[in-house]
Amino acid sequence: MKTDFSKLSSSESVGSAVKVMEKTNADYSVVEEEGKIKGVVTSRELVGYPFSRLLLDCAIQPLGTITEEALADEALRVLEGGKASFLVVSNAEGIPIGITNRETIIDSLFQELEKLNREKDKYIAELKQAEEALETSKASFRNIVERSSDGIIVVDQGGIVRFVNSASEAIFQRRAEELIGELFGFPVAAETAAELDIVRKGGEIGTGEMRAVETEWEGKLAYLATVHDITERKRAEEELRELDRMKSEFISNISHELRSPLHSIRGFTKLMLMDKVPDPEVQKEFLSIIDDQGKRLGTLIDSLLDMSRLESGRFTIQKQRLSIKDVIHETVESFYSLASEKDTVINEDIPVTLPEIEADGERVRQVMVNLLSNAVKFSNDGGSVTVKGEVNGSELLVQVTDRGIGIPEEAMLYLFERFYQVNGSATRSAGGSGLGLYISRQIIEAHGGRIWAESKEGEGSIFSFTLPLNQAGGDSHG
Amino acid sequence: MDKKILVIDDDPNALRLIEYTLEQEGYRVITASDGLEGLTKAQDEHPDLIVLDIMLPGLDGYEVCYQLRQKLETGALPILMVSAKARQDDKDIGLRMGANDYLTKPADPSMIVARVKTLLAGTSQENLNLEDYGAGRIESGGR
Repeated sequence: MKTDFSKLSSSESVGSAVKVMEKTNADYSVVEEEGKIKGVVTSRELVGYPFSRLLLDCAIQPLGTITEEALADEALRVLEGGKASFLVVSNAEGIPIGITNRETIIDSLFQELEKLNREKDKYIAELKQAEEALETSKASFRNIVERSSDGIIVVDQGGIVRFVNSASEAIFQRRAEELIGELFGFPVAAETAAELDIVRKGGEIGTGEMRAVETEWEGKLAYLATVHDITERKRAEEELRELDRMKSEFISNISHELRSPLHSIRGFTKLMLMDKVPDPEVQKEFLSIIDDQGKRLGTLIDSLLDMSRLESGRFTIQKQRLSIKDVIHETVESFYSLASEKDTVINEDIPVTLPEIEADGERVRQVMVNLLSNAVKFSNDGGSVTVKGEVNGSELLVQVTDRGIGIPEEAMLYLFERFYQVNGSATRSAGGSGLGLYISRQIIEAHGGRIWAESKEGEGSIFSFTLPLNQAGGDSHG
Repeated sequence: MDKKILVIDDDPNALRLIEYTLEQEGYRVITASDGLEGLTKAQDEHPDLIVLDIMLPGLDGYEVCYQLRQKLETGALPILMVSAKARQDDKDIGLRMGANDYLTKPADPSMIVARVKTLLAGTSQENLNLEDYGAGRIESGGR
């Protein structure tokens, strides 16, 4: 639609230009004076604006024979040159469609500024995001260092600790601030791998496996050491070695234990075969030694078989109702002769009211034999052994007490372990396979009872075991 | 000749066996059942030879042997170890502690007599063929 321009010829006609616009419903009026544009007005925006002022603000620019189409462009140029307060904005066809003033331009400058501001904000946001990403990445690395189960330590060239992670604090049982700044105390060089003693806070010593590589700390050459706590592994290895040692000692002991009776058996047999024993009394003496030693071998072989059964899980108990009092008494009786040889008295403290229980009589007897033979064996000559039985709650408690040589404290832990024999020739030479207490424990535990020992070196020992009184289904005995 | 032999062993049966065997051969035999008693008797009774077990209560045979070797009166006394400790290591330690000979239990009585005779015949330690044992007597160590 062609816009209707009202040509104004003088300042006096500005007011009428408005009127013309109102009349013709035109949007714009171009203010002209002597053929020159003095301004462009639009009725909508400039109604009420003092036209005198408008004219004043307009740059007076000779237009010559300007076309309507070029009008807006020209007006803009004038405006940009800072000589006018108004800008005529044309549409794509060059037709003026609006007018603007300097304030609007400033607005647009603000808009530009705002746009710049928005870009700045966007840039700042991006920067922040990048920083956050960096922080996250840093945190991840810190996390890796801090969560590492290995101690990570930076030691400078002077051997001073400069950084430790949490694992180091745990390993050395010291806080970071107690470690940093201190001497590491162990020579560190690049590409080294070594085992080191870890001195913990209480003075306890563990073992660490350390590897070191070169690194940089605050711009200087330093060493990055990782310390892996291998104390537990060492302990396990040590236990394994101890078990191995016990096993080979056991084999050596078994060999010794088999050879000793065999020595007597073969020796005396040989003497008699060679007619070196003419005296019938002496023959009898030697035959009875051979008989005894044969029995000793038999017992040892039984123990070995029991152990073999335990190892293969074929060890079973057959429970039946029995009088524990009788089992104890019979076992004690069988020790009278051995005890009298050592001038040792065996006292029985068994109440007649002791109830019957469900148990494997032979196995319980085996335990009693083991405990009594230990008690007599380790009693001093002229000593005494007491066997006590009593009801203790829902259990039967049996205790064998001696006043013998006692058991060293360090041995108490291992007493019921397989192959264990208290160190020292004195005890070992007293005979035994290192299996008796181990087998006893298996027997008692298979009954649902417990077995334990209390002892004081030089004062004697108390071996106790319990057997449950009320077995399920044990209602009557025939 | 009436040579006196001290037998040290904590196993009464082993003591009885060697005592009887050696008496049959005309030796005078005295016995001790632990290391300390053995050392005292070696000092006081002036035996011509000692038959020594290793697994003894208190002082063991190695220690007894070592101590005997440290003393002037017993330093050159022939010592025959007879023990159920049968590993090569055990034998090596025994000889290192100063034993002149080592027999493993079970030991044939006639073998014990033969070794005793050889040692009493004044055979020096150097001339004794230490490798001349009954076959299979010594177990290999570290099994």
